[in-house]
This record gives sequence, structure tokens and C-alpha cells, in this order.
Amino acid sequence: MLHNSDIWLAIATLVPLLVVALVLTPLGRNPRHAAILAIGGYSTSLGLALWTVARKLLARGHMGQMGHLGAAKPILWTWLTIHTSAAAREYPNSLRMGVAVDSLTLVTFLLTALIALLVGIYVIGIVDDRRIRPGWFAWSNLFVFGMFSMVVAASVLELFAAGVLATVGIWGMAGAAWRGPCEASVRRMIPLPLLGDAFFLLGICLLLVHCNPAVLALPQVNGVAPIMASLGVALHASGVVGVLQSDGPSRLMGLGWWDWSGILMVLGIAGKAAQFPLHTWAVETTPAATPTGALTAGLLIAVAGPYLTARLIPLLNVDVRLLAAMAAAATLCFGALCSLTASDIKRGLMWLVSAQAGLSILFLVTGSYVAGLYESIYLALSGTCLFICAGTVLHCTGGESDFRRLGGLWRSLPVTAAASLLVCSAAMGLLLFGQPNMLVAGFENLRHIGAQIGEYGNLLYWLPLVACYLILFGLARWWWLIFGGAWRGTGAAPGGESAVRLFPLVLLALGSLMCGQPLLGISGLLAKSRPDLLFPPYTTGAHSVFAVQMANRLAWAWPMAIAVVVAIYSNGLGRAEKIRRLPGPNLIYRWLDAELYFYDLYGAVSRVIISGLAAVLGAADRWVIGWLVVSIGLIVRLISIVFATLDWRLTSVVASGGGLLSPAGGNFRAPVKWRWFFPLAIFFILAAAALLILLLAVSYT
Amino acid sequence: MHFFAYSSILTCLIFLPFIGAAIIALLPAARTRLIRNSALAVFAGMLAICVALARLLNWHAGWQLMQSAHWFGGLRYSVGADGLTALTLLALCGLAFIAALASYVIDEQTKTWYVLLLVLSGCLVGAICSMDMMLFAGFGALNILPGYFLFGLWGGPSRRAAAMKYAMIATLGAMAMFIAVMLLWLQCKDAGLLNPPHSVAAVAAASAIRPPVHAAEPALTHATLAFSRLGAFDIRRFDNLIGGRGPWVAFLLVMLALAVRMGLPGGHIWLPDTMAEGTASALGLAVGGNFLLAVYTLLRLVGPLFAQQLAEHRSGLLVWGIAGLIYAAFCALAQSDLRRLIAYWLTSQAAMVLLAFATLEHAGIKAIELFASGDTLTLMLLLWSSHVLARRTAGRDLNSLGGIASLSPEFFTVALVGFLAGMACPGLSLFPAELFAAMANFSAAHHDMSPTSAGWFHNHSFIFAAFASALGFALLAAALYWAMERIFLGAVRPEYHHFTRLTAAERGIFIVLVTAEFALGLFPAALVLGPASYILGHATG
Repeated sequence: MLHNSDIWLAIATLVPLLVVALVLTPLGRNPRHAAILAIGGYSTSLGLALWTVARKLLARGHMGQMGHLGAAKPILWTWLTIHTSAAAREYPNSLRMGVAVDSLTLVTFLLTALIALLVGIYVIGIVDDRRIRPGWFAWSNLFVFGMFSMVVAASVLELFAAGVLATVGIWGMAGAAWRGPCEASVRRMIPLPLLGDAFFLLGICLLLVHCNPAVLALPQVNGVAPIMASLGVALHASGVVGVLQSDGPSRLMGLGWWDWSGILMVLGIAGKAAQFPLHTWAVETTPAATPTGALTAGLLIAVAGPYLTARLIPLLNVDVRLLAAMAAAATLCFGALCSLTASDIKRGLMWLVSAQAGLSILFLVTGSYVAGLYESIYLALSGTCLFICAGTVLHCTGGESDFRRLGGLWRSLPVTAAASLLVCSAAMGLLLFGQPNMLVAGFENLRHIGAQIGEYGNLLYWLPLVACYLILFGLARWWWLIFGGAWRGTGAAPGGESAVRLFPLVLLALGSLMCGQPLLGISGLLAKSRPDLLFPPYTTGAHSVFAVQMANRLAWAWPMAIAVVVAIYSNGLGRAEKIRRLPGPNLIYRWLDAELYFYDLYGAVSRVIISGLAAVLGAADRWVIGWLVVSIGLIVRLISIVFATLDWRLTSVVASGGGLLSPAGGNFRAPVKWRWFFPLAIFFILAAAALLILLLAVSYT
Repeated sequence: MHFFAYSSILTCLIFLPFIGAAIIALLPAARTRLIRNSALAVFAGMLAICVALARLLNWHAGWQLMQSAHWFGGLRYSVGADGLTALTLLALCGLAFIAALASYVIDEQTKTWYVLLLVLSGCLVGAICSMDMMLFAGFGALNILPGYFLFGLWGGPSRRAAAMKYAMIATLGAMAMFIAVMLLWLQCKDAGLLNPPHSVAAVAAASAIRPPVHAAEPALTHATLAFSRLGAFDIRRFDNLIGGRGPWVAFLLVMLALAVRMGLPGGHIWLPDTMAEGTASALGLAVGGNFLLAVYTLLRLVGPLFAQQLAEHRSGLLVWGIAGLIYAAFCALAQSDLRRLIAYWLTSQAAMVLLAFATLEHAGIKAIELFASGDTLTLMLLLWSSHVLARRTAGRDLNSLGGIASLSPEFFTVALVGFLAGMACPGLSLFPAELFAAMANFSAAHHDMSPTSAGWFHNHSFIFAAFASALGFALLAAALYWAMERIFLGAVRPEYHHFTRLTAAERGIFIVLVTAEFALGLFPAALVLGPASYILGHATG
């Protein structure tokens, strides 16, 4: 097995799990030791991943072994044997797990390991902060293990399992391992990813029931796409997919099982990447420590969401892809809008990251595979970098996260300011080192598809474009309100950049600037892993008239955004405040400030419906049913007393030979007025029983 | 001679705990250590016999290692085993051994405790090994008694009321089972299923070691109503009883008994109070053991015998399962007592078992078998976590806890495994069960969605079941996450600063349970589905 170079990647995946175990031993009691263990683990994983790449290069040259996942030789073991029906038994029905590696796997693994390592190094810079707990490193390693497992997964079920682990890791990092008031946030954060996971599992089960389980193996998934492309919704068995019957009878609300499976899986992706309608959870992690936010934004949202989409698009048919595109476009718009009025530096940033993840997923589901993944890589590096910038600001200002009390920090934090400005400038593939061609191709694709949809189809192009302008404005606003203008806080502007904190910052900034460079060959590697998609890219985005127009539009967007921000915020928040007080803008501001009322909506559902129902049913179960049981017990007791008394009276009568009313000869001393009660009660009970028997007899005959 | 050779292994297994209990009862009460070690030896012996049984058994054949003897009247002592029995016995004896290990915390009336624990184990083992329905019902009813004393003598301040509630409702369930069995017995006579007993030699020959595949179906029909002949029993002959409603009444009675035994919604009313007041080890064995027994009954008795009633009334079962699952999940969300939360968690799991069973799909049967092992194991882990917590915090009120994760990361880690297992996290024991249950729902939906079927709801009922189970799963997971948050996160309360580290014994029990959780989650095919494949595929129909 060691001849297969993928085994090294499998070992690299398991390293964070080993670190989790080590952190739980006495070795990890000291936060600094735990941090060193974590960094050692990430470095080892990164080293092993690089070693795998090197072996592949040496084996064939020119990355010959890093192509399409369908051509990969996965390492697999049978986990379960599925028999869903008699027909399914005709196909090999083993549900297999393991490791499958293609060029996308390698790129994403390297990216994940690099980001984890750099965040780990950043944590070393703040490890002396007394709020940190060693357990945080265990959780972060569990999260990274989940991410690695997702990247090397050989089956859809593994993607799900790894996603669940990553969510658990985020939950732990956000709530369990950092001293701070973030419990309420954690409580609000977890339900939506949970719901997403539940939907994802249902989608997988639907696939398992209707298909040969082999379809869940990712190397086989690519083979599904051509079938889907040629046959559309109705699938037929052709060696790869063992569909039990045509889609006809299995329709629910006009959709076939394949549509439902796709929709459920898209909801699963939405739960991971904070996409509409499960988009509100991500900002709830922002009260947690900065490294938690950095890993959430930089890995879970920016990498996991697009990666899952890239792996699953062959399983999504046309309608579902369009639905996913609409959801991603909605997130893009919502995120961009919500970032405009955010007053918390991390909250605003998280909205921007979530929106850009929407752009990446939008490109992917509309067929711009390379552009989508490029956006994901850029977002992973830039999102992590900006979160680390935010962490540095928070650290220097003693935890001040409100824009209104920041500003002018470029003087005291010059490197941080410069790095974050470069990263913001590189958004949308702009600036000298970026590669806007891919984005231009993505937008061109959107325009073509939009034109084919029909009357309102062009919204699929225009809405994301406007949202991208808003994102650029949001980024410019974010930077300016922290670093530009004058210091708005109390006392002197704080300072204090440390080399340990700056090192990951600078590396990430350079990475986000350079990742689009053709010289690095990343786009070529990504293109190698592209499955045969239902939506082929319509143009390369290089030479058409539209491409030139689009490149110009994007090129002018950033200077325009800067100009507008400077015009509004050059004198502090005064002008913005004046604009906000105008009746129309005030209404919009309130809407945006309430984050489009999604919190109120979900909060109402959560508090009123779920919590209310839970309280009512819980109380009913405990008290109503409890009292019912007690009442039955009391009735039984009463009847037993009646019978016991009657029995005593009768025996007394027999023993004394006297009348029923004579109390002599026993211990029972009933008052005179109750003396007729028991015989009467017995009489009525017997009469009722006789009546019941009579009724039963009549009914049976 | 053969009779007392291999075929008596089940008899040994049944009577070993009773003999052990008798011997321990004769020991002086002051010799606590001796009593404890003796009881542990007996439980270890039971586990060893189970392992031997698993090695002796041909897993790809039907009934084996049978033994039968005349008892009195028309009743017979008749025991036997197949893959399903052996698997259930292994789970039960493993559970009993862990419960015995966890009983080291009992300091008062130790002798009585272990005697009752052994009697309870013996009753449960006896019920599982029975091939005769009357014997099965008898052992099943008998386990109420030790359960009542175990809950009534040790535990919280309201333990007597809780034990009384348990005894009353469990007796009701046992009576329902008895009446159903009596009705069936009456019918057996007419159906000619009470043949004269076979010779001992024939029985011994039939229970030879590792009989060839498909050759182990002897006509052991001399029992009251032998499980091995359930397939041959035509319940339609039963229609002449109770105005033609005989099969329906028997089915209803058996389901009522199972609802009480496994804590299905409606029959669960004893469970929260008992859970809140009982001790962890007694609850683990009594509640977990009864859950195992109920699932075994579902597969062994209800499936083959009431196939027609199941097909006719699956919509009712489905509604019961869906409503119960959602109801239990909501109730779990409202709890502030950890033990009550665990009780509602178990109720929701029972509802999931019912949902999987109502599908009448192969995947559903697999799910049930996986639920049986996973739920009992996870229940024990959750109960043990709650016990460890309560010992250190003198209470289980979730709202008065907090910050435990930072006080004891070790405890947090192992308890976390229990909570994650409870929400069917991948890699842990309940995940494969949930997977198969959801698949069974979709599979049933696929089969039900025929254009000829009448009614939109009927055509889509299992789709609703699948989505309801997803909603229930999400609610349950939210309840468990919220409980974890209240226990482990937040600021450390001053009163818990003395929260001590785990003792060696506590750690040992946790290691066993957590290892088993991962083993079942990662290798379900090898540990559960493989051994039970023959019986799940053939004997249950």
C-alpha cells in the first residue's frame, strides 16, 4: 500500500487527531505547550502533503497523476453492505470509505494545512492572554481533522461525516475552550448547521435508496454527470448508476427523487458555508476568539462550502443547480447589504466572507469551475488574513470592536494596515497580481445562462455584479473605519505589532495576492480536476468584447469604492450619520441594521414555536400525564378501600350473625351517616359493570 | 449425555445468575468486598459463556443448541438460540457486566443489590433464550420484581413513588403480553401446534455443534408456541375469537406491552420519573435490558407472527412513530434535569425504532438491530456521565451547572462522546442505525408511491416520516447540544471548584464504553450486521 503515494495524505489527515489525543494528556495542560503541539501537527500534515505532491511529480512528471478524480486509485474499505431492495442487489452494493486524491484534493489540502498552521502561529502570539484554554487546541485540531477528512474523502457519506466533525469542532472552539461571554452565541449558532446536516444525510439516504451505493464513491460521481447531461432528470442504469425505476411515480410536489436528493444536499452545503436560507449562523461565531473566527471564515465557509459544491455538482441536475445558484446569489446580496451597516469589525467581516463564498458557489454551480475554486482559494487566504488583522486590532485596543471608537490605526499598526489594504484590493481578482480573467469568465457564464433562463434571467448576472460592487464598498469601508482617518477612541491610539502575529498576516496577504498568478499553475491544477459538467464554460473570458467590458467594470470598481468611502467617512462618521437620518435612508438603514430581519424571523421560530412547544409539551408530559397516572392510582386505591371495607363488613356480619348496621366485633368505626355509603357504592359499581358487559355482548353479537 | 453437553450452554447461562444470587445471599452481609467480587465473577462468567456461545453457534443457520423439558400442565421449558439471540445475549451480558462494574458505588445493602442485579440479569437472559412464548412472557414479567426493588431501595428521595409507578405500568405491560400469549396458546391447541414432545435424543441431535446451513430447523413444536414455528402459525384462524377481532387484539396487546417495555411514546410514562430517581447501573441494566428485550420481541415475535396486521396497520404505527418522535424531542428540549432528558432521548430512539419497523423494509430491520446495540450502549454512557457529574455536583439540574469543561477536560471529553453518540454523530454507534432508518423510510416511500395507491397522504407518508425523523433528529441534537452547553460551557461556578478528577474506576468504565462506541460506529458490519445477517435476512421474513 505504501507504493500508493496517497497513503501519505491519509497519514497527514490523521495527524491532527493524534494532536487532539496529545493535548488531552498532561503534555497539553500548558497552553503554550498545546500550541506548540498543534503547530507541530499542522507542520507535519503540510510536510506530508508536500511530500505527496513531490512523489506524484516524480512519478509521472508534469503532474500526470494529479488529474481527474475518476482516474484516481482510491484506497477503500467496505464500511457497510446495503440492500435497499431486491433490484438493488443486482449491483455491487458495498458502501465504501477511504481516501481518493486528485489535483483539487492536493490543492485544497495544502491550502487547509497552510491556513491552519498560520492561524496556529498567530495563536502563539496571543497565547499569553489568560483567556486561552489548552482545550481550544484540541477543538481546533478536531476541526482541522474534519476539514482534512472532507478533502481526502472518497465518498459522499465521508463528506457528510467530515462536515459534522468540522461543525462540532467549530462549536467547541467557539464555546468550550475560550473564556468569554460566548455561550449565548454558541446556542444560537448550532441549530442551523445541525438542520443542514440532517438534510444532507436525508439527501444521501435518498441517493442510497435509489442508486447503486457505488454512486456515492466520489471517483464514480464524475461519471454521473454525462448521463445527467444527456438524459436530464430521468436517469437510466448504465453501469454507473443503478436506478431502480424511472422517475415517474416517485414524485413529490412535482419533483423527482433526484431533485429532492439534490435540494437536500444543497441545503447541507448551505449549512456548512452559511448560505441562504441557513446563512445566519456564521456571524454568531464572531463573539468567540479571533482564531475561531479565522478558521470558521477561512476554512469552513470559504473552503468547505465551495469544495463540497465542487464535489457534488455532478449529482445535481439542472433545476437544482439553478436553485443553488439563486440561493448563492441571495447570500451574496444579503451578505453584501448586511456588511454595509455593521458596526462590529468581525461581524461585518463575516458577512463579507459569507457573501463571497456565495459568489464562489454561484460560479461553481453555473459551470465556471475554475473561477469558483479560484474565488474560494482567494477567499480562504484573504478571509483568514482579515480576521487576523481584526484580531490584532482587538488585541491592541483591549477588545474594542466597534467601528465608531476606532480609526486612524494605520499610524500605530502600519504593517497590519498595509497587509489588509492589499488583501482588500485583491478582492474580485483585481490589482496587478490577481487574475481577473477567471472572474470575468464566471460573470460571462452567468450572463449567458441568465439569457437562456428567460425574461428575468438577466438578474442572475446583474444582481451578483451589483453585490460585488457592494462587497468592494464594504471592504473599503471596513478598512477605512479601522485604519483610515483619525483615532475616534478615548486616550492615545494604541499600538504594538509583534513579529509572531505579523508573520502569518504577511504570508496570508502575499498568498491572497499571488494565488491567481498563472505562474503558480493553480488554475491549471484546478482545471485538471473538473468533472464533465452540465454547464460547460461558455468562454474563457479572455478575448470577447464582453470580457473586455467586464474587466473594465471590475477594474474601476475598487477605485470607485475607495472614492465613495473617502467621500462619506473622511471626516469620521458625521456625514454617514447625516445620511442615515434622512427618512428614506433611515428606513433602509434600520432594515440593514436588523440584518434584514432574518434574526427576528429565526428567533421567533426558535423562541416562540420550538421553545414554546417544548415547554408546553414538556409540562404536559410531566404534570398532566403524571396526574393522570396518580388519579388512576387514587381510583384504584378508593376501589380497594371499598372492597376491603365491604369484605370486612360481610365477614363481620357472618361472624356476628348480626345486621349490616351493627359495628360490633371489628376495628372499623365508620360514622353513622356513612354507613350506607359502601353498600351503595358497591351496588353502583356492580351495576355499571353489568351494564358494560351487556353493552359489549350486544356489540359483539 | 449429549443433552448435558453443548446444548445445556443456554440453561447454564440462564441459571448461572440465579445460582450466583443464591450463593451471594448466603454470604455474610458485612463481607462487602467478597460479595462484590463474587458478583463480578458471576457476571464475567455470563459474558464468557456468551462468548463461548458465539463461538459454538453457526451464525448462518437457524435455531440451534436447543433444549426442552416438560414443566407442568401443557407448559415446557424450551430454550434455543440463533444469530439474533446470540447477538442480543452478547449485548445484554456485556451491559450487565458494565452495570456490575459500575455498581461499586453502592455502599448500602450491597448484598441485596447484587442479588437483585443478578436476578434481573437472569430474568432478561431467560426471556431472550426462551423458545416458548409462555416461558418468554414469564421471564419478561418476572424481571419487574427485581427492577422494582432496585429502583425503590436505592436512588433519589422520591425513589419509592417512582418505583411504584414503574411497577404498576410495567405490570400492566406484562399482563398485556400474558393475555396475548394466552390467547395465542388457546389458538395453538386448535391449530395443532402443540404436538407431542420429541425425544431428548432428537433434540440433542438437532442442536449439534455447527449444524450445516439450513439444516437446523427441527420440528421443535412441543412448546407452548415455539418461536421456531411462528412462520407456520396462521393467525387468520384466530379470527373466530373476540368477534373476529382476535388477531387485532393480540397485536394491540403485544404492542402495548412493547410500548411499556421500551418506553415508546405513550408507554413511556414510567421512564422519566424512574430515570430521575434511579441509580445509573440499575437503570442501565433494567431500562437498557428491557429495551434490548423489546427490540428482540419486535424482530422475533411481532414481525413473523403479525405480518398481516403490520401491513394493515403500518399507517397507524407510522403516525405513532412520527408523533412520538417529535413529541419526545420537544419534551427533551424542555428538560432541566439531565436524567429526564436522557429518558426522553430514549423515548425518541424507541420512536425511531418503531418508524424503522413500520417501513417493513430490509434496511429498517437492519436499523432496528443497530439501534438495539447502539441505544443500550449510549444509554449506559450517558447514565454513567450523569452519575459522575451528580457525584461531584450534588445535583443534575442543568441550569445550576456550568464551566465543567475547564474543570475536568477528561470528563468533558468522554461525556462529549456520549452526547455526540446520542445525536448519531458519524463514527459512533448510532450513526449507521440512523442511516439505515432514513433509507428504510425512503425505500418504503418509493414502494408506496404507486399510481394505483389511493390517497395523496398514503402515497407520501414515508416521505413525511423521513422528514419528521430529520426534524426530530435536529431537535434532539439541539436538546443535547443545549444540555452540553449548560453543563460544560460558561463560567465556572464557585461551588464546583472542588470538582475532582476522574477516579481509576470511573475512567476504566468510561474507556470500555467509549471504545465500544467507536467500535460499533466504525465496524457495524463486522460487529452487528454480519453476525445477524442470516437471521435478519431469513428468519424475520
